[in-house]
Amino acid sequence: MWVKLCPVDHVPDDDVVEVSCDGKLYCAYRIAGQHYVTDGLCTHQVARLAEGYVLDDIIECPMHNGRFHIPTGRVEGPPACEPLRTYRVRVEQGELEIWIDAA
Amino acid sequence: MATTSSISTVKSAWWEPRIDRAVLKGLMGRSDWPGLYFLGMWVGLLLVTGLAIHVSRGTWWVVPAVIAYGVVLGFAYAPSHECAHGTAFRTRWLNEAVLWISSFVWGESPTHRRFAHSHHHTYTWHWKLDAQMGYSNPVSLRTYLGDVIGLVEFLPRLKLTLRHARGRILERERVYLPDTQVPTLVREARILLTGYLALLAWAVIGQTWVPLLYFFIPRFAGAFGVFLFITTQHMAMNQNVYDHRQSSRSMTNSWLSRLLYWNMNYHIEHHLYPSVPFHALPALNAAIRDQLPEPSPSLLAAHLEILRTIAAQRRDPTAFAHHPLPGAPSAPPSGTGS
Repeated sequence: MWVKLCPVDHVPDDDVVEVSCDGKLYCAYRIAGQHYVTDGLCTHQVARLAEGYVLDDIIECPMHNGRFHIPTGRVEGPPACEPLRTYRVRVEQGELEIWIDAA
Repeated sequence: MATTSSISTVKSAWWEPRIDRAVLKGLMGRSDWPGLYFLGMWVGLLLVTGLAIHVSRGTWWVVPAVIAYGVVLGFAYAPSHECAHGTAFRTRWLNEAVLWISSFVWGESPTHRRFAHSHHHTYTWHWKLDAQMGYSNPVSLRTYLGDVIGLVEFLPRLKLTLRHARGRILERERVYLPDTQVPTLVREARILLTGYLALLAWAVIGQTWVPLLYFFIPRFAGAFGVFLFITTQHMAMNQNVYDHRQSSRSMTNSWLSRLLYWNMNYHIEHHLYPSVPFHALPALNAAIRDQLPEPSPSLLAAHLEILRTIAAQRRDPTAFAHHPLPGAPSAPPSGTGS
């Protein structure tokens, strides 16, 4: 099902913002005009990725510099080893929405 | 949209300064040029001191020349450390190439360097948790001297690499090293050992002193140089606390020292924000200086403070080097500190 995450204008250009939805953290990005959403916590150790650094389409963890490819969640640099979960996104009436599989 | 500051993370446990996100993001910016400049100057100093070895061969002047070259060579620590963070260069292949070369000189496989150091950042000087701190408060004079001279340096790390090359990983290493990384670690250790053996084989088969004079002997003889700096990073500071201002020591250093050390004298700043590259640490310091303790005024002052604290710890094992925080009383809270 599609779940509203935040107003689309809350997402900065070429950067990341942290969003909480139903007690879970997400990272919302707008990279070169495209919207992306990933999980908000690093898969290496629990750290908030939104405090990290966005370089092109890579998000770097603020704690240990593990790197992930934002569009796919692929690991781009250690010490991260597990990929980051990514979500399908759409913009509806100014809201950024993500697809979450029904439990 | 809501914030979830209640979520506990490895980073949220630590004290953080007030700094605007836009300013911090600017400081995190990546570039190749500062790294190339620092690297080029290091190589230039190696060439100058290496030339000194060449022209002094056959005289006693070769001894100070080898030591000087070895001191410079030991600062391979700095690019290896920065590249392990992945912040030295914007270009990834350049970062990885310099990581490999400098880690070869330093004597530690890139993967072990990265994962052990990550653990150090998570648990900075938390006794038995921090993978890179082999001692605890109270510090003995013997530990201090061993650290400064570099006895904890190349040989123990060579033994570590030998063990890894045989595929033997200790339980305490598995705490910070995921199973998926073990094959990479073993392969890297074997590559490093092959390189060292190739240098030795060159010396034996080629009947030449070159690998000994320009690598092995100076690596031992000059190890103390970089360890004079590394020792000051945390030694005798407060431990088991989640505030880098109390467990790490920043210091004021000369231009040449900062050049060789890649600005790691801004050590509190580095621990606060590992994503800020070495070349932006002076600017980070300027942005948050009002929230930091005064840095030690020099390398010598830092060592005198360590020695004073070691002496104080013989009377009171709970003593540590106390750096007053801005707005806080100058005396430590419970009568500890020195």
